[in-house]
Order: sequence, then C-alpha cells, then structure tokens
Amino acid sequence: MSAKKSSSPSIPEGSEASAPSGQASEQEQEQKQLSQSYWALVWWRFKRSKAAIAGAVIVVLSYFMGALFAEFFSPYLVNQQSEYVEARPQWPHFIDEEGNFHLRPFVYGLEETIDEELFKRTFEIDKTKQYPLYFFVRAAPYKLLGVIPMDIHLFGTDPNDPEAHAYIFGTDGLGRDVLSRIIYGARLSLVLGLAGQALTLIFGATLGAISGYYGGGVDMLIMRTTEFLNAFPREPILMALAAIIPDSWNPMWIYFGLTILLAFVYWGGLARQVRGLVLSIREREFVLAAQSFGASDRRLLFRHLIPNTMSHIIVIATTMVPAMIQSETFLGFLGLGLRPPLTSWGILMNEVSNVRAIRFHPWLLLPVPFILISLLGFNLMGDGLRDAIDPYSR
Amino acid sequence: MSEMSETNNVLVEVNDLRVQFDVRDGIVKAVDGATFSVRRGQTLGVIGESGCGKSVTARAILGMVPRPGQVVGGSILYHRRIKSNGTEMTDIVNINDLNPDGETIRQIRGGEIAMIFQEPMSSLTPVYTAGTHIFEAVNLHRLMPIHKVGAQMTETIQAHREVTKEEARDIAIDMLHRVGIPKPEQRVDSYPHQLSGGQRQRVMIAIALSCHPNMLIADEPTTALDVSIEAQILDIMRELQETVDMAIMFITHDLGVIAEMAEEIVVMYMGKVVEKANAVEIFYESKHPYTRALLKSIPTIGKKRRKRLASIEGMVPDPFDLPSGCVFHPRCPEFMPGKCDQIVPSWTQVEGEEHWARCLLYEEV
Amino acid sequence: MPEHVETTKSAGDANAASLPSGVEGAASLSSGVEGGASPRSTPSDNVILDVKGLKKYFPIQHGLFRKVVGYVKAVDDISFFVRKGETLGLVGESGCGKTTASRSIIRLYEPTAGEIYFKTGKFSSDGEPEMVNVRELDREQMKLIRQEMSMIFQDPVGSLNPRMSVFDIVAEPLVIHGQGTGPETEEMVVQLLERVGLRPEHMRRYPHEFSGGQRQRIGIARALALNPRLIFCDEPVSALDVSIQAQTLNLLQDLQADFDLAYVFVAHDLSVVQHISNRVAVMYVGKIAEMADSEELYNNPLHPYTEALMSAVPKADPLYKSERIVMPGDVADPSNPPPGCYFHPRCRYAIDICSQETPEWRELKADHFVACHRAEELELRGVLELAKDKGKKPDLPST
Repeated sequence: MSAKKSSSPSIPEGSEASAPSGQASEQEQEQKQLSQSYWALVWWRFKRSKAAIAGAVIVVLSYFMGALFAEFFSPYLVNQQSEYVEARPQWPHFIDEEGNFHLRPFVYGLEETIDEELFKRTFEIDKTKQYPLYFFVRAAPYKLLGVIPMDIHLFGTDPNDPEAHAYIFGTDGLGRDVLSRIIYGARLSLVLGLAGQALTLIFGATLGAISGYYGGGVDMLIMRTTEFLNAFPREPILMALAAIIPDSWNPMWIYFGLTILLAFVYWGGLARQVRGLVLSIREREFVLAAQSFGASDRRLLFRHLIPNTMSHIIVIATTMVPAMIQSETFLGFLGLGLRPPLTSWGILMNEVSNVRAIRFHPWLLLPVPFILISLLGFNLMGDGLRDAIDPYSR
Repeated sequence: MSEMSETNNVLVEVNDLRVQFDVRDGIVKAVDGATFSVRRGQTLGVIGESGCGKSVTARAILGMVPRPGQVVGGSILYHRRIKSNGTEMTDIVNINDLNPDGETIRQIRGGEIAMIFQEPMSSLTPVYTAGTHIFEAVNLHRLMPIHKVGAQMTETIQAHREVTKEEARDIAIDMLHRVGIPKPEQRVDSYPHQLSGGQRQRVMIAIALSCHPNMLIADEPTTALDVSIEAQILDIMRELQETVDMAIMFITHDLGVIAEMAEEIVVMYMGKVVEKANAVEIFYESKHPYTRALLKSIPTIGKKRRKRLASIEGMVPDPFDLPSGCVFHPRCPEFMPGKCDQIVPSWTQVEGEEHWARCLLYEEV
Repeated sequence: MPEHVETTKSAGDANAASLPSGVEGAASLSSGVEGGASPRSTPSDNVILDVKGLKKYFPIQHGLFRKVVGYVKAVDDISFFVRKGETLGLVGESGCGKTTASRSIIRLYEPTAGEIYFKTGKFSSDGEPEMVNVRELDREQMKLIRQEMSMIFQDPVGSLNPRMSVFDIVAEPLVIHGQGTGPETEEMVVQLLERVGLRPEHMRRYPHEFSGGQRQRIGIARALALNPRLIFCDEPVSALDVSIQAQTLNLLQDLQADFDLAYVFVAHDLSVVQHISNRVAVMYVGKIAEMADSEELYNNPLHPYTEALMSAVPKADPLYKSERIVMPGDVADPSNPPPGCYFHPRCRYAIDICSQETPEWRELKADHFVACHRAEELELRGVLELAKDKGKKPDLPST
C-alpha cells in the first residue's frame, strides 16, 4: 500500500452513498471522535494507554496530597519533634499476637531501651502496647492551604490518649515522623519542579521561538549562548551555583534562588528544542499560505506557530519536570540548595547521607520509593502525552 | 514477442492472489484476486492508483509482504529453470508455500528475481517501520545510506555468485559502466548521498542486474525523477532487457510510462485485477469502464489543448467499507442497477486469447 | 470558457503610449530587457502581471560566522507577462526555479532584483486600474495587493493548518482583511465550499478527516475567498492520484471561467501544463528557455531544451513511434551553473558560442519568446500528434 498519496478519508464525497455496513455505529463513533477538536482527540488517545493514565493518576495524587493538603494527610506536623528519637517504624497491623483480627488497624508502641553496645537510647517495638488507628482524628492544629485553621488529620492515634503515638515510618534524629516529612517534602520538591519548569518554559520557549522565527543574528546569538552553557557539565554547575547561595538568606529567598538556578541550567535545552520545532513549522505550507494572505507576525505566531508547537512543548515540559525534581534532590542530598528548617525530599535525603544513618536507621531511606514513584508517574504521563499528540499516527 | 507456446515460456504465474492487512480498524484486502503471468523476456506493466495493491502484489512475489500483511489465498508459481544431473528442468515453486526466511527464497530474491524501487533516498515510506526498511535493504539489496556503493554491490554479487572479492568488484564496475555511470572506477567508492537521484537509481538497477536475474520487478522506479532522467532510465532498462533477456514487471501509475515499456498490461483497482490485455488493446480497445475512464482522464501532450478532462466521478472507497457487488460500481459510467451492486463480477475472457476483464458487461448473469 | 486571447498587433512597437498614464516606471517598460536591443512586444491593455528581470538569489553560507561563499541563483533574470483571464504555465524540472519565481512575485520571498508590475485599482484616486510595481510597496499596501493575488499550494497535507477547522481555514483570508466577522462570513464560506464541490456541513471538521483531493479543494476555496484576479497554482495536482487530478483540473478550469481568473500554473508535468495553459514558459535552472502559446510550443518549439523535454515525456500510446532525444547528464546545479547558456552541456546543437555567452531573451515570432543562440537556424521537432487522437485505428498486431 503506497503511502505517498492520500489515504482514505472518513468523509465520503459526492452524491453516492456507500453501501451500508454492519459496523455503522462503530464507524459513526470513530467519525465523531475524529471530528473533535485537536485537544479532545488528544485526550481520547491519551485515555487509551493504561500506563499513561496510571502516570497521570500518580502525578495528580502527588500534587493533591503533597503540595496542597500535606497537613491533612500527614499524622504529624512536619517539624513536630518528640521524645521518640530515631524510633523504628510502627507498621500497622490487623492481626495481633494472639491471632485476633481487628477491623481497625493498630500499631505497637515504642519502648525506650538502652543499647549496650552503642551506649545510646533506642526505641524498639513493644508489643504489649497497642494503639488503634482512627481516621479523621483531631491532632496538631494547622492551616489548610495556609488559610483555613483546622486540626483534622486523615488518620492518627486516639486523641484522648496522650501516650498513643503512631510513627508509621519511624522518626528521625529529632523525633519527627518520617511519613509526615515525606508528605510535606513532596510539597516543596514537586512545586519547585513545577515552578522551575514554568520559569524555564517562559524563558526558554520564548527565546527559542524568537530564535527560530527571526533567524539571523538573533538566532546566532541565542544559539551560541546555549551551546556555551551546554558545554559545562550539568551537575557540577548546579552544585557550584547552589553553593553560591548564601546561607544567611531566609529560606524563601533560597527557594526562589533555587528556582531561578534550575531555570538557568535547563533553559538552553528547551530553547533549542523549541527553536527546532518553530523552524520545522515555519516552513510548512500553511504558514506560507497565511503569509501569502498578508497575515501579521502576531497572527502567524499565535494562530499558526504556537498552536502547532504547543503540544510538543507540553510534552517536553512534562518530561523535564522529573529532571528538576531530581536536581533538587541531588543538591539537597549534598547539603546544597534548600536547607533546614525547610523540608524537601532533597533535605530528607541529606539526612541519610551518612553511613551511620543507613546502618542504624535505614527507615530514613523510605523517601526514596516515593521519589521514584513520582518521577515514574511524570515519565509515564509524558510518554502517554507524546504518543497522544501525534495526529498522524493513524 | 515469443514464438514458444505459453506454458514453456511462463516465468511467474500469479493465480487468484489474496493478501490481507490486519490493522487496528479492521481488515484491509490489499490484494483480492490477482491473476496474471509474466513470460520470460517480456515486460508486464501493472497500472493502478494508490491503494490498488500493485506494490503489495510485487512484494508477495518475493515473499516479502510487510507485517501486518499476510498472504491468505492463491498461488504464485515461479517456473525455475535448474540444472539437475546435466539436464535442464523446470521446477515449479509456489512462493506462497516457501518459508519466508528459508534458503530457497533467499536464493531467489536478488539472485533470480530482483526488485528496484522508487528513488531510494526519498522513498522512506512512513507506513513501514525502520525495521522493515532494513529488512528490505538487506534482503532486496536496496541502497543503504551508510555503505559505499561498491561495497553494497560486491556484497550482493558475492551472495549469489561464486566469485572472489576482486572479481566481484570488477563485475560491479562493469555494471556501473553499463548503466551509464561516468567514471565507474571512481564512483564505485562513493556513498549514495554523493550521487544524484538519477544516478542512485542507475546504481539500483546495476545492483539488481549484477546477478543476472530472470525477472526484474520495478516498483515506480522513475516516479521521483525528473522527466529527462526518467527517459534515460527507461532507455537503460529496455536496453539491458534486450541484452540479458530478462522479464520485467513494471509497476506504475503513469500511463505514459507504461505505454512505452509494457507489452502486456494489467490494470488494478482496489486490490483486484480488473483488466488484462496487451498494451495496444488496453490503449485502443479497453473493455473495463475503469480502464476507459482512466485513459480519458489524463491530459496528453499532443492532444488538443483545453478540452475538459473526462474525470472519474467520486472517490476511491474506504477500504473498510467497500461497496457491494462490483467494487467500482459507485463510480462507473456504465453502472447497471440491480446487477452491478449485487453481483461480484468474475474474471472473464472478453476477446481473443489474451484479453480478460472483470466486469458484468461481459458476463452472462 | 474564455476565448483564446489574440496577441494585439499593436504590440510590435515598444511604445509606452498604449499604457494608461500615471504609471510608475512606465518609461522602463518601453526600454525592454537586456539593454533594449530588440523590439519587445508590449503587452496590451489586457496584461495584469508583467514581470521583468526577476532574480532571486539565495546566499550560501559557510562556517561559524556564516560567511557568504556563493549564491544559488534560483531565479536568474526572467521576464514574462500574464493576461486577464488566461493561464500561463510555468514548467520545468527540479531546480528550475518555478516555485521560487511564483513565491517571489507574491513576495513570500523578497526578490533580489527585477520589477513586478501588477494591474490594480487599489492605489489610484479614481479607482482606475494601473500598473503598480509590487516590489516598491510597503507592508500595508502589499496587504491590499494580496487581496488580488493568491496562491494554491502543492502539499494537501502541509498546506492546511491541522489545528484549524475547515471554516477557520477558508475564512482566514477574510479575517485577516477585516471581513471576518458576522454572519456574512459564514455565508461566504458556505458559498466557497459549495463552489469547489464540498458540502457546507463539513465546515466544522478538521483537515485530517479529508482526502488529498478534498484538501486541495479546501485550499482552492481559501484562495478564492478574497475574490482575487490572479492565482498562483503551485503544483496543485502533483500529489494527487490520476483520477483526482482530472477532477481538480476541471474544477480549476470551471472556476477560471466563472470568475474570470488568471492563473500562473506551476508544474513539472508537461502534459498537465499544456492541457490547462493558454501559454507556457519552459524554465531551466533559473531561466526561461522559451515561452509561447501552448499549441505553438509543442508544434514548433524553438529551444532545444523544449524539444528534448517534450521528446522525453512518455506518451500514453504504445504505437507512438518517435526517436527519443536523450539529454545526457544531469540537470545543472543552480549554485554552480555552466558558463554561457546553462543548457549547453546537454544540448546536441551546441556550438562554441553557447559555452561563452548567455543567450538573449527575444521574441522571435509573434508572442513566441526564446533564449537560444541558434534559434533561427534550428529546425526542431514538435510532438507528433498521437495516432489514437487522429482517430485512426491501427492494425493491431495479432497476439
């Protein structure tokens, strides 16, 4: 079958109706799908990939739980210290020692012991104490979305029992609940990834589009700059620039600084890709056609070039977010970038960045699977998007 | 052209070939009943528009229908002349029965039946995956962009003939000279992208002919070339055919080219062969309404200018929603209601020995 | 169907007097091309486009700082004219510059040199049409001219924005020129679609739902939106199947008759061009080799390239007997063309002067222009009328 010529359309031309077929309703459906606008079509195709949907669900959940409503989903506050320092995880159970099934999950309590070898206090699981878990409990107060004062948490121990505690993933060196910190950490890391990407997009896509559209000297200048920046290896540059950020800055400033830093490192790649896209679209005949009718530059950009590159840019942006999250994690791990008292995944990783922690408190590594899953979610979603945006893959 | 009786002279016989493609939206009957023969030393032209199945038929002859296509019916009989115990015999091989990866078909491909395509560098069809391209490149000895021309030629030659590398190189240079490439001793070491489109096509012909095949299948070989280059290539093909007595199956959509090259012509529409006759009869006394309409719809040099072209009404139907009865009936100027939309016409002899058509005008129903 | 326009006999004298006054650059019209050596047939009042000495060179850049090392002379000094309501065919092989020429005239590419006169009433105080030099217009003025000149493109897939509905695509020219609001727009679009043979309900659909032939019709509807007088058809049927080609060519001819359109029809297929054109200009590597009336061209070609080209076209008649003239070698490279006449290395009539001097563009017979040193003396072969069209039934060989 030759693909050079036109393929069969779904719209018959001429007065003759084609013979009725048993697949009429399916065809109609197909036809209905095809006459959707572009984005509706994209969504329809995106839905067909289970992996893509899974990725999207992960991403949405991560932002929902971590970025927006972290306080609600965490049993404890992010900096809520306690006496239970470096305590083991209290996994929830349904069946107790005697084999009784409890509908309501519970955790075993912690007991302070002295480790004779190491001469330090540790907390071990004490099976004599059982603390059932309740849902929608009142616990430490917070402000939802920073505004609404609340004290309801998704789950926790009996508020009336001052002794009850449930550190599902254990605690860190200051007695803070690891699970809560992971959830809170998601907020900063995920939002940083998004903000960094947004800035990169604004900066990089604009420059790339200008470069591709106008060509000439402007193009040369921008491209040589990106090449120059590209010559430096990414991680050392990140580290060097992050180290420049003064410790004395207040955490919010550090956060902004870091966002700008990420955009600075990543804009070049995006600009080059956008430039390539614009170049390829610019020579397409429909752009020439619009020019032949006297379309203004503005119209060409906004009605023709950008809509036809937008989908690709979105895919590129989506797949760049995980890179940014990773960069933050990487920097945090090294003690650069965000610092305590902020909590991000990078900072959490920093707390595990020594042998002692890994050897004696391995539960501090529990942020890792969460990081991996969220990155995986972005990648699956990005792949699904990439497949869905191609209108000619039929 | 031949004085011998038909059976002695037949090289490839295609009988009621059916090839289907199983795609996401349904089954496409890419070839749905193709019957024709190619005789030794003869040129058969296959003409049709896009989607008519001519390329798929060609690939089926070489056992190379790309996935998701598969041959689901009919036979392709290749009359192979082999020497056995000093005597020459004709061994009839059904290509459809051969193992597509087996030894026999590999010997045939390139060595006994060769194929050339549309200009190689510009014909990377999006329908086929990269894997298919590479497979085709290796098995059909297409020009690969990253190897020197000479290297590819010697590889092909050595695959099918018992010669040393130096001898193969000499053969290659000789072939390049025969197809009219200037300075072949130098050209043999260049890369495909250093040659022009016309030269690449000549190289393809050279590769195809370097093993003296019995038949050359040419699938739109000149479509992407300028007219002046096309003329050169057609001349070379005719010249070489006479020198080596090779059959050619020439596939194209260009009526002018086929009038020049073919002795016998087969017209295809939507996977079916709708008419078969010798070239003069097709152009002067065509029987099938599609053929007639096609001939009337092309502008020709030399014709009185500016008369309206008699165009064929309507459009090629959706392969997933074929019309009932005769597949051409919605567009046919000779449509007979009650007949053409109900009954599928069969392959009928219409005149003389060799003129066949698939049309109810010529069938008793 | 418009009548075959006769060349007015007054066109023997290179005199500006026959043109309306108040024309910019009128004086230069009389001086002819190439230093005014030979009398040039002044196009009559019927001319709406007059191209003179058009050049478009593309710089070849090398190295880090993009130093210009040479030029691709895509269009190298061509001159032609188009009359109201007629079709001028521009034909040639790859690299001949036909597409570049049409795009340069409409200023999608800025011409490197030359004058482009277009007859329009948009700039005169009394609305009377006059010849205006398109190259000298500023952006605003050019926009007005674009209402009168439009273009149809080759690629049915690439010439329509996949993100726009058919309605948006066809209405875009109206929108750009401020006529795109209100119910009249929808009416106009419906009319246009119906005129090209599409159903109006398809307005809301998207290009990918249509076949190649239908997409070309959408492109044609778009080109008609502003009621132009001249349409550049850039290979409009090359990407279509044979049977769809016929439909589309018929449509173009019908529209021409209905709207009194002039076409510049660019294609590489000589048969198609000769079928649809009143006059044909044959291009080779950026220059026009020959330009004449369509029938005149194939009966009495004056340029060896035309002769060879027509001889090379495969004829749809197995009984057509004619010795083919084979042009050796490849089409010349526009970035490095041969000296003198570009065609001389492939020309079987070439003599010394052909490799030394560029031949002059001159009008050898009435309305028949050619650029060849030996045009007067050569007796070139036209295309024999096909036997089948003579109505003769041949002796069919027995099978």
